[in-house]
Amino acid sequence: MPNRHIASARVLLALAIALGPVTTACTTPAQVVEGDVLLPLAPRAALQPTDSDLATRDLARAALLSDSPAMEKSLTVLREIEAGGLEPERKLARRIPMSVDLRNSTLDGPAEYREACRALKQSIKEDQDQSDPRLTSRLDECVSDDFLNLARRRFWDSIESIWADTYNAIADPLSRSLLSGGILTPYYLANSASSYLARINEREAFPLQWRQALVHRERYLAHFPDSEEAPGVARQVEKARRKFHRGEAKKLVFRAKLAMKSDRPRSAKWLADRAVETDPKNKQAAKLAEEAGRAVALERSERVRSEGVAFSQLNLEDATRATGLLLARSDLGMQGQTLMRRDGYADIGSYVVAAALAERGDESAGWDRLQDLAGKDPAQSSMARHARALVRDPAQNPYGRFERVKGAQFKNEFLWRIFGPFAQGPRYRRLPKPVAWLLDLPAILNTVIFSPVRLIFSPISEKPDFDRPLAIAAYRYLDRQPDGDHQDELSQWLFDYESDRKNWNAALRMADYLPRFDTEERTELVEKAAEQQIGRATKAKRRDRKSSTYRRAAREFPDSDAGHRAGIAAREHREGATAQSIRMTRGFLIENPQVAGPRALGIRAEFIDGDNANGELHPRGVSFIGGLFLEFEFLAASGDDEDPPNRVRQKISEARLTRLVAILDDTARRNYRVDPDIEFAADPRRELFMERARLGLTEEPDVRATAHSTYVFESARERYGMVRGRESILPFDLVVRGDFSSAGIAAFPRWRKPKETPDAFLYK
Amino acid sequence: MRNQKRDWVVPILLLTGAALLAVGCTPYTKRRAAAIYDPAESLTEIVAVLRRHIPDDTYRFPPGRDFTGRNVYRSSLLRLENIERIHRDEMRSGYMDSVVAFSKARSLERLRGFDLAANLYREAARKDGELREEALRSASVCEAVFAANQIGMDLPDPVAAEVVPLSMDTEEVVFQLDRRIAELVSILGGLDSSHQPNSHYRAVIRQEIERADVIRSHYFLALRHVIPDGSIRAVAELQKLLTRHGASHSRRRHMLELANLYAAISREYVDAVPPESLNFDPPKFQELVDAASDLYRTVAAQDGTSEKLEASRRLEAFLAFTLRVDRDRFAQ
Repeated sequence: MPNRHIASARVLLALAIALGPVTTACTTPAQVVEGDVLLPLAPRAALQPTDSDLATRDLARAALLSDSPAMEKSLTVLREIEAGGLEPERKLARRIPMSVDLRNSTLDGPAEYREACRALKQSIKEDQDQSDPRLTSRLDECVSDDFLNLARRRFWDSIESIWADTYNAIADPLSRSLLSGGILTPYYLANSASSYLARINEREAFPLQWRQALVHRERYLAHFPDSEEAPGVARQVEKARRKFHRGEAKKLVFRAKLAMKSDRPRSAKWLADRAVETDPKNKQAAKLAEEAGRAVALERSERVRSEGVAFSQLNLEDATRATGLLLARSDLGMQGQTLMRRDGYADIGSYVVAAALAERGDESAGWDRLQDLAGKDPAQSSMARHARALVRDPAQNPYGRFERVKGAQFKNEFLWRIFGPFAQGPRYRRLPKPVAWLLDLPAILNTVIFSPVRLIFSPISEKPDFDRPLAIAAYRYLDRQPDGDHQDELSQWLFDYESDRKNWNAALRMADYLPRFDTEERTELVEKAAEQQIGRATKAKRRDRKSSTYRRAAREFPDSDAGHRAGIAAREHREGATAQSIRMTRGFLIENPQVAGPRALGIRAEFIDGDNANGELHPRGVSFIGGLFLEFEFLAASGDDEDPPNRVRQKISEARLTRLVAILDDTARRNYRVDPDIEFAADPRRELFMERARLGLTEEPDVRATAHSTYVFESARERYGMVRGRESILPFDLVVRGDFSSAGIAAFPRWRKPKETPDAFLYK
Repeated sequence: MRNQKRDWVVPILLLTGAALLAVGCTPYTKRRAAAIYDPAESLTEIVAVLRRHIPDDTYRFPPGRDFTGRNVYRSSLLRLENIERIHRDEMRSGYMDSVVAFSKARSLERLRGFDLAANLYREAARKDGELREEALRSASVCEAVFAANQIGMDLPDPVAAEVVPLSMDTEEVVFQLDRRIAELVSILGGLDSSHQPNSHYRAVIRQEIERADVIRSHYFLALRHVIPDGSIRAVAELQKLLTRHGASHSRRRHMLELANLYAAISREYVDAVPPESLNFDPPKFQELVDAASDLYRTVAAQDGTSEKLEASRRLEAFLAFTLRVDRDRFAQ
């Protein structure tokens, strides 16, 4: 027992020793840094070119002139110097492969060049002493930069996707049945097989990877029409194009069929015509185009016929007289009532009365009358269609629209609560509906059974915005009739809607519409609205927009606490604004001593040695702030990273800035080249600053907000922590999965599908 | 015995952890350190990358990109400027100057910096006997192209502090641009005698001819509201551009320009003659819509290009605009 205590104490001691320096470093007070923080810029002696340097120069010149004998001569010189060990201070073992690559770059044919790259890469592999990650990376790029190779790779990607689908469709149910004792095996297998077949049916006839492969082959033909492979590739392209067009036409036909089913013959016609254009051999498309054409013609003739039918029963003389009455007199209501009493004019009279009621401000009565009229049979009533058009027009009758949508959306939400995503229909849209529903039946049952659980979690789970169409109708109503009968009701509804969405600015606007709105609640709302604006300002990336949003919040909500804070933030933002904020973190400087060293930045070593006692750079590091100025952020006197850093600005010479920027750019690109985890995101504003700095044109800072970069050069350690995340080299992931519906558990290796290439969005 | 074993557990675990960390960290730190080049190595690398792309036909195909996605000529130029600054002291003897100047000139001529390129070629010729002949030949081509480009107008910078108003003398503008093209064509012809048949200058000059045609079409595009039959002329100029430069890598861009023009005209037509008015002519409007949407659709079908996205979104926007027109006047 005592021994056990001793062992535990030792463990604690070991931990204390391990963690000791870390905790001490964090809490040791730091010396406040003032004055010059940089070492003098260290020049390097002029280099006396050696024979190898001159040979390299001659090789570069010969390469630029495409002079093969001269290139060979220079290469021979370099090899001789290397073999004789005449220049041990030069890394000739590394320079020779680079020189060979330079010679190879003058080869005419891309295939020849690729072959040369491959051979060179092989020779480097064989001789580890010559290892040069930069060159290896370039050679890898060269070897893989082949249109036909890329096309093949995309094709195999698609095959692997199919294989992954197939494998997973078997592995998943198999593992489930094994873990469940095999009782439900037939169910699992049948379910998985049917879903798999449905997915296969849903697959694009010409998948994205094939499209990519097709484009790569077409590019190959465009670049090398006279190559040996060209005729074969041309045949492949032609075949693939035909297949692609067939697939596209099928898709159009499918959409045209849907349009026909949903009574949109014009769309159907347009889609079917396009399908015929894409694949003239598609008989179904031609048939559908014909059918849709007939439907369009019928629709047109029906419209022409209906335009004349309703008024045919009216006497022209009477109608002229009635119109004259309406135009001559101003009392529309009276005229309407007069018309209502005349035979054949009752509905016109009723319509006129409705208009008169609306004009008088009796909005509800007017719409009620129109509603009645709209319900009549158009064959019997001359005004039924007009009334119906008016009642259903969302712009003319926004409240009617609000009421109609309310019912529909309630139903939609209810269905969504019960059936989840299946409320929109089955998953597999290309299958005949009954089959699709049947396939989804187990999943639907599962969804219905667990709908109470979803309901419990509904306050914290996401749901579609079912109220959006209602809000549009309500806003439209308030816009059209700000003093209408339903103003209060809709304002209250909108207030609740915007409050639920936490859109406090809009809620505040609505609150101002509401009579007798509670003052305290309004004050609270003002605070929230101001907070919302501050949140927007914090998220804004551009300096000027951030500043103007703060100012607007301070101006709009001057009496609120948040408004006051926004005002302070605006002032601080303005006072602390710099033309640039391109930053190099302390970690980056430590990781890249050539940037921090005396030939570039030249920061004193004691500031990045981890010892707070002699002053220490804050992890935020050093920033270019525009012009020739750098801003150094040092640890505050407390030595705590969390405390605001102590900022020291220093003007540097143009020569130092020029060199620093050149080394920084070169280092960042080099790191990006050799380390796959390093990120070097494109930032045109950073590039502009660095280009100008390189040319010594930063004396006058560029103060435009759009020229302001906040790019951060950071170390790999800062980006990834102690251990970098790595993608498994295995082609599958080990998955453990369980579901409530069948109380089944599956544990199986799931095959990973190949990732889409970054340019995949250009093929969709 | 058991406790003695436990005594070793902690140090062994700590050591294993440290060793794993060291193994995990070393390769990339080492790779980064191994990737630092001296001046000669840096230059070898840059020239190798640039040299590979010198013969590229940048008229037919878009210019190459380096591993960061930057235009390869621009990237080479910036990297050459970097090494000039980083290794200024080491390269003070000037033994690499001619190669650097020549390489910078090769990059600059692909970035339309013909005057700067000519200067650098002349500098290289002055400093290096071996490069002299080729450098002087290239300098003369660059100077000729630069001089040709001075003839006639250029595309104006629309946000420049002082925008020079466009000339209203269309005949003079056309004459000058034709003169420029004639000059460029004659330089192109002269290459047969002075350069190799596969000289990269052919692509460079064709690009300049294309640019002259683009300037011309844009000029008529800008003037279409102020000259008689301006819109028809602008359409004709864009169609000519498309026909003359069907092999150019910018052809999709030209198609988009033409489609945009048709779309703009149809919008203007709807504004001028509202669809609900009596003068609206549905077939005329249909013609404009068909022309625009066919072109958009053709470009949108070009997989793997950024113009595909632009065309498909523009087509969508254009079709959305046509919804403004009542269904009895126009239906898609």
